[in-house]
Amino acid sequence: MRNAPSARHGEAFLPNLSRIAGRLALAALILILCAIAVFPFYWMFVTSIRPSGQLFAYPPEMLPSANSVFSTYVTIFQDTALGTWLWNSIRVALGTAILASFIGAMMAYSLSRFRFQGRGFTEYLLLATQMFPGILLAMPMYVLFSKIGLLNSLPGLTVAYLALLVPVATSLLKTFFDGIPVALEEASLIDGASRIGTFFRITLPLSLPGLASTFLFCFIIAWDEYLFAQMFVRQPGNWTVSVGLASFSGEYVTPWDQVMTAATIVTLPAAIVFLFLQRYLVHGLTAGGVKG
Amino acid sequence: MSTARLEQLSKQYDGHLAVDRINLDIADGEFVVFVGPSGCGKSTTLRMIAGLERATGGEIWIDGKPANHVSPRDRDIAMVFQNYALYPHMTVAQNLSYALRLRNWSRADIDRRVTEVARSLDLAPLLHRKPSQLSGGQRQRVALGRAIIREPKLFLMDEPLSNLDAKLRVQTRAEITRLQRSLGITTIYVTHDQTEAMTMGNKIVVMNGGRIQQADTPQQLYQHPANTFVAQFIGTPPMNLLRCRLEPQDGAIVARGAGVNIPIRLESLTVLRPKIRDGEFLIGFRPEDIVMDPGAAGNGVTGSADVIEGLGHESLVSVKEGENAFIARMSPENAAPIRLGDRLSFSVNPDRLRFFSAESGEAIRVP
Ligand SMILES: Nc1ncnc2c1ncn2[C@@H]1O[C@H](COP(=O)(O)OP(=O)(O)OP(=O)(O)O)[C@@H](O)[C@H]1O
Ligand SMILES: [Mg+2]
Repeated sequence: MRNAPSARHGEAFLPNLSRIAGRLALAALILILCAIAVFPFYWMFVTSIRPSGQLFAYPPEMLPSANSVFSTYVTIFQDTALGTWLWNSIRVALGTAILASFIGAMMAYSLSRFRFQGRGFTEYLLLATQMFPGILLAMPMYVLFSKIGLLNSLPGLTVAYLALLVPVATSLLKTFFDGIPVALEEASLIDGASRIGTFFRITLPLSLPGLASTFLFCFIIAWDEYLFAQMFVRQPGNWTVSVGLASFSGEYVTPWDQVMTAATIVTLPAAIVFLFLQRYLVHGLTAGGVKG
Repeated sequence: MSTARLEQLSKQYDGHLAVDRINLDIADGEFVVFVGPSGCGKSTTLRMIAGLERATGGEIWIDGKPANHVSPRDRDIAMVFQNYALYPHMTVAQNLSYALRLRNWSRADIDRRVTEVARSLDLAPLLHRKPSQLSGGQRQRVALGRAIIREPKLFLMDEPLSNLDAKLRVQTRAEITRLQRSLGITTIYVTHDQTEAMTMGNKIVVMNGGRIQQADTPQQLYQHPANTFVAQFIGTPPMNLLRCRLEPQDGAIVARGAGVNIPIRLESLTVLRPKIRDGEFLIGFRPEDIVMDPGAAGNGVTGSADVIEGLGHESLVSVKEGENAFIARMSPENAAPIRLGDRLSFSVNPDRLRFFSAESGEAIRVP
C-alpha cells in the first residue's frame, strides 16, 4: 500500500481481506497435502496397536482404540527374526551408502575437475546404466554371483547395490562438484595446499550437502530394496527387513497387526538417519565465495 | 629480491593460440600491468605464471630459476582472483589465515599477523563474518588481505576491481598502488581498463590477440605507441590517425590527405621517405596536441564539426573531412561558439606528430 497512500478506505480494506483469504486457502491446501502424505504412516501405527479382534471392524475407526495393545512391539522380536533382519538391513544399507558415496565422490570429482581421454564416454555410460530396469540386471548378476559365490551373503548383496547405486551417486555428486567454483580450489592451491589438502579443506566441506543427500538417497534405496534382496539371499538368517516383512503374509492369513508393527519399526532407522543428516541438507553453502 | 622472466611463452587451446610467444622481463619490485581487450590472453598469461595453467611452449623463470614444472604451492606467489574466490565456509579471519595455517605458523603468530593485516585493510570489525555477509568492496579487501598476509615473491591480480562500482574502484586503485609501493613486492596486474593501467603501473604491457604489442612505461606508451593498436587503445579519446601521402608543395614536402596539410621536417623525411615511398601512411596526434587556429588552413588539419561533447572541464570536438576524422580537446570557452557543421582549422604541434605504416600499422620512429 506504500505506493498508493491516497487510496480510499474501502479500496484499501478490500485487498487486505482477499490477501488474508488467499493465505488461509494456501494454509488449508498445505495442511491437506501434509495429511495425505502422513496418513499412511498414521494408519500403519494405529493398526499396529489395535487388538487383533478389531482389525477388520467396519466402519474403520480413525482413532486408536481405548484398549490399545503395545505388546506386539515386544512379542514380534520373540516370535519372528525381525531383530536379525533389522541388523542385516542396517549393515547392508549403511555399507552401501558409505561405499557408494565414497566411491561416487572420487569418480564425480575426477569427472568434474580433470580432463582426460574418455571422460565424455564415461559420463554417457553412467547415464546408460540408469536406463535398464532392475530386473534386467538382476538375472545376469544372479548368474555371475552364483559363479563367484556371492549369493546368500550380505557383502554380496551390498556389492549388488553398489553396482546399481555408484553410477547414481556419481551423477548426483558430479552436479554438486560442478557447482563449486574451481577458482576456490585454485586459490587454495596458490595459498599453499596440495591437491588432496584442497579436496579435504575446501571441496569436501562445501559439498557436504551433496554428500549428505547422496548418502541418504543410497541408504533409503538400499533399505527399501526388495527385488535383489529376495532373489540373491535365500537363507532367512541373511534376509533384510524388506524380505522379512514380505514373509509375514502367509498363504491363508496375514497377521496385519504384526505386519504394521514391523513396518513401523522398520521406518524408524531411516527416519533417524534422515534426522541426523538433515542439518547438512542446507543450500547456499557456497554463497559469497565468488562473484560474476 | 623477486624477478620474473617470460621467454617465448605460449599457450595453445585445441588449435588456437591464446598466448603467442610472449617475452617479458619483470624487475624486482616492479608493478607491471597487463592490459588489452577481452580475450587477448591476459588471464591465460597470468594463470601460467601462477602455475594454474600449463604452458604449451616457452619458459617461465621466477627469481632466475625455471618454474614451468613447479606446482603452484611451491611458487610462493599470491593471487587475487577476478571473482575474489573467498572460501565461503570460512570466516574472514580464517580466509586470511588459511595460507599461514598451511605453513604451520604458531597460533600467536597467526593472530598477530591477521590483526595487522586486518587493521591495514580496515577489516578488523569483520573478522568473524562469513564472505556472504560482506559487501562487494569488503570482499575485495579480504581477497587482497589474503594475498598480502604472507609476503610472497609475486603478487598476481586478475582484474580485482572489475566488480566494484566506479567510486570504490578509484579508491581501491589508490589503495592497491600504495600497498604495493610500501610492501615493494613485485606485482603483475591484469586489467582491460586502460585508465587503471596508466595510473597504477610502472610498466604496462599492452596485449592483443595473444601477443605483446608494446611493453613500456605509461609515458612512453602514450607518447610513442609502437603501432596503431596501442595508439588507439591507450588514451581516451584515442590518438587521432589520419590517412595521407607525401606530396611536394612550394619546394617542401607536406603530408596531404583529406583535411590534412602538414609540412614534414627534413630530418623526419630522411627516415620516412624510404619506408613509405609514394604510398599511403597514417599520421597521428593526440586530441590535446592541436589548437584551433583559423589561419592554419594550409598548415594543419581542417574539417567540419561533427559532434561536440562537453565534459564540464573540457570539450571534445569531433571533426570530419572525407575519409578522415579526428577529435580535438579544448576548453569549454573555446568550444562554446562552435556549431555543428562549422568549418574548423587547427595547427598541430610538430613535435607530437607520429607516423605509422598504413599496411602493418607499425610506428615509424622519426627524429
Ligand atoms: N579453457 C579454455 N579452453 C579453450 N580456450 C580458452 C580457455 N581459456 C581461455 N581460452 C581462450 O583463450 C583466449 C584468451 O583468454 P583469456 O581468458 O586469457 O582472455 P583475457 O585477456 O583474460 O580476457 P578477459 O578480459 O575477457 O578476461 C580467449 O580467446 C579464450 O576464448
Ligand atoms: Mg581474464
